[in-house]
Amino acid sequence: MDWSKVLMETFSSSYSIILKITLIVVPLLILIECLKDIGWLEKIASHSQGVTRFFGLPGESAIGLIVGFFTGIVFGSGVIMQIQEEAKMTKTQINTLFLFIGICHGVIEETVVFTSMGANGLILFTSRFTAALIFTFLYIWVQKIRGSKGSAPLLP
Amino acid sequence: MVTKQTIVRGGNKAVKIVVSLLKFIIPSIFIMKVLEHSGLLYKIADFFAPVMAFLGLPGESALVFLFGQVTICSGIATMAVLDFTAKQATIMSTVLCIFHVVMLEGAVIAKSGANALLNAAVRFIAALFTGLVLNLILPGV
Repeated sequence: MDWSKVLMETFSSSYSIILKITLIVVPLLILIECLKDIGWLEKIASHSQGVTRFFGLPGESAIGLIVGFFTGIVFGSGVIMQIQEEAKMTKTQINTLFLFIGICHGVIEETVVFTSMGANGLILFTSRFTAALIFTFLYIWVQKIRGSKGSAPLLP
Repeated sequence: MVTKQTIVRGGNKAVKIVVSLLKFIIPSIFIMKVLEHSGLLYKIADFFAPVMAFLGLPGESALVFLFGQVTICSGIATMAVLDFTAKQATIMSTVLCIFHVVMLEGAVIAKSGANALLNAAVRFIAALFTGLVLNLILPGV
């Protein structure tokens, strides 16, 4: 095995990913800090409560959800780490959040890219979104049952 | 009120987060590259080839999903080399989109406080399930 190739490719992949992350995460988090200081974060959170309630999530997570949904998991997680300062979430809540984003993220970029590869973009998006809903709710439901039984959850 | 301190505060938090992500990203990429260059990735693909039939995909597409763990662009590049029908393209893309770069994203997720193993497992199941359903309900071949 050619270790020099491994190292070079690791370096170049890491470099491009980190560059991308930095260019997106830094402005994004600055924006969120601004939103916080203007008081808009609270407003957005309380308005989003209606929707995030279905997932058992606090209103503040809406921004993390939206960012992860439209961009990627890594960017969403950067935002969520930030949000954790404002609203502490339980393990179940964070798992729920990342289950949804994990299955359905990067919808714009990935749908466009794969449509160019020959896939049906509409089916792609709808399938991911539906699967995300199904499996996220399944998780929430299982956790509820676990919780009501009063036993210590294996998967927190 | 947005002040200069707001920007500085936000910037500092962002840099801290990016640096902490770095510690997970680089090792994850390295491990996947080792798997790729050692040929292990191909062996794993052979193992999963029979599963592809359930999704209506050619056996070689297991490689797409495995390369899709290195970076999604690797997965896409692998797709570009294969032949497949329109229906297969849709199924392949959907499965890939649900289950890609799980290791790196898992590391990031763990850093954020969630259960990375749970995430990976559910995404794996969701990908297979969705691929199977699509194979069954989509018309054509």
